[in-house]
Amino acid sequence: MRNILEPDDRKLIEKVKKGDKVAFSQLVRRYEQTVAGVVIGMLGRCSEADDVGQEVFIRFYRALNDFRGEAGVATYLTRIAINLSLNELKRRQRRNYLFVKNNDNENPEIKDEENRQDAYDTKQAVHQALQQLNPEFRSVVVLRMLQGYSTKETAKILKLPMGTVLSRLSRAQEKLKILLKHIIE
Amino acid sequence: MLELLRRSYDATLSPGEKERLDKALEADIELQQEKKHLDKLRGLLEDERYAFDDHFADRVMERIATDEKNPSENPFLYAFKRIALPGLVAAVILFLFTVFSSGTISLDSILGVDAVQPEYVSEFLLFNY
Repeated sequence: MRNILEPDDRKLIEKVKKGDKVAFSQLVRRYEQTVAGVVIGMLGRCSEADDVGQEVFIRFYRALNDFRGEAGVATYLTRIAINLSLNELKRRQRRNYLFVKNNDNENPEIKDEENRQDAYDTKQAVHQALQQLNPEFRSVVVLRMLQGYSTKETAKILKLPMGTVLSRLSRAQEKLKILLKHIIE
Repeated sequence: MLELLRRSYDATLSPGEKERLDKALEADIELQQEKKHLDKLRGLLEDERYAFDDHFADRVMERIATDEKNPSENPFLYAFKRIALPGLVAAVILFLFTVFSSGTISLDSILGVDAVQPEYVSEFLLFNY
């Protein structure tokens, strides 16, 4: 397998393997935004997002001795981040099963007054719309549209066929268009 | 054509598909409008940037340090300690008890059937079932 690590990353990883913690904190600083993009994109801005983000790096740290650099660090972290986020969403769903109603059939346009106020802030509105997608659609949007992975890379990270990714992207866009109608039209 | 337009953002269209889409875009005002909306939507999503609260790296390093001070137990080792180890201790006690009480270490004596003859079992089964 080809080693596709950035030279800087390779040096830092070698240092970490020799016990250099400062080198690991440099790696965390370098990639925390990548992980935040995935985790906050998937879970929203909440305390669990920070915990899951930390867990991503802890798993990376523990797996460093087996990490051979067949994927870049960003892709490797993204893979851990998306899996942990999906696990967290499942846990959340189980926890809230009895208390949260399924709103799949409701008109998804952002309507209530509080949300309308927030929608003045475009970024907030986009974030809210993203959180209203089902996790399976959200994950493809986060990887493809927010993180900028190609469709092929997205399929590989999520272990899905390309056709499934394309159809989920198409359906997600359709829903986002409705949710963000007041901004994009 | 709408589906083709959406797909054009995420997949490589064949030359034929591309030509069909280009022609439709030239002629169809609704499709042009749709493309404009999709461009805007994707632009908004690309601009989304998220960050953890300040000092995230410090929190990660703190957790690593804590984990190293109090390493969490391997789940298999935990299961072994909680289930297999007491079972092993019980088996050893039973074995020693059998050895001291009957003076033998046969399986029959461990199972407590050393005084039962095979004929008794077959007779019992024959007359009762």
